[in-house]
Amino acid sequence: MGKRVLIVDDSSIMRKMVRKTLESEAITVAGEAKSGKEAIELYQNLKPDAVTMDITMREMDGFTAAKEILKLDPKAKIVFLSNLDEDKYSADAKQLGAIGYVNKHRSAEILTLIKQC
Amino acid sequence: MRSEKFSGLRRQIWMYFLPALCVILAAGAYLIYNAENDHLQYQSAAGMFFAVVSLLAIPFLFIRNIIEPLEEVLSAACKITEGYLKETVPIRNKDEIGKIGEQINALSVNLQEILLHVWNHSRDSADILKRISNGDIPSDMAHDIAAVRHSMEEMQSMVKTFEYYDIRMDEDRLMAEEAPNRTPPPAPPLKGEGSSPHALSGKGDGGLGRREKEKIS
Repeated sequence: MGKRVLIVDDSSIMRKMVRKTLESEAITVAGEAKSGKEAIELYQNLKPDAVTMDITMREMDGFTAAKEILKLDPKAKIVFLSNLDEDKYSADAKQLGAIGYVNKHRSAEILTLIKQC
Repeated sequence: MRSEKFSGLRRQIWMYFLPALCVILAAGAYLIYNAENDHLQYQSAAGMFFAVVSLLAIPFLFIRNIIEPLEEVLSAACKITEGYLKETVPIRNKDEIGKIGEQINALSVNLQEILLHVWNHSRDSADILKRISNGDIPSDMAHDIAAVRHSMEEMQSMVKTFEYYDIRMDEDRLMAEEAPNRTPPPAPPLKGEGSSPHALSGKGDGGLGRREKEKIS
């Protein structure tokens, strides 16, 4: 059975783009959340194999949401996606226990990380 | 600022309120004047007082709960339109006005994401092209060209996620949207540069576009 992924991003266009990237490799999108709070709720309900988490979201940022998810499930596999400078956040992402940090526009790297989960 | 206070919906609510106030005052004055005794006169005066106070509350509540939130939404929408994407609409309630605010905020988030997407891809491509134009020709040129091509395709992929007015995408070409009553396009020239006369930039010349039709109707 293929991997089931939860997409978290406050931009509907980016959610659409990430979905398209994942589905191009037959990865199932278990659900989409548009805020950190929604992500925590959906994670508990859907129990996905991996989460793609946007960092900058207006309601609750991705790091806070990831911390909450990792509290609930320390084995949660989270891949941070952002448009921001990689150096700034990649260390924080690894320290938090995430699988990795990828710039949103690098779709091939997103797929590689998700497949590794 | 003074003129804004009494424009649009604010002016309308006062225009509805003032005649209603006049009617109540006239009715109250009539009842007081024609009251048969002091007791009835007192009751009429008290009734008129409460009616006026209640009526006064309507425009103030309407302004506070509807007009002021709408003005906030309008102000934020204007700033976003001008390019201030950090502007957000404050969401006070989950009512219809709050939902409009949420959608405007979502629109601004999407616009920012699109711009950053374009920025990241164009920056990567520009870096490669700059290096090559400076004479730093890489040994594996095919890899760099593939990276530039990938960036272009990613940007196109994002463009394709939208639906456009007056334009439809036919594979990788931009075509005028077909309307049922659209007149047939002019015949293609005998010799061209490979660009079809149907491929337009959105100023449809083969009939009226949706927006033009909306304006006419």
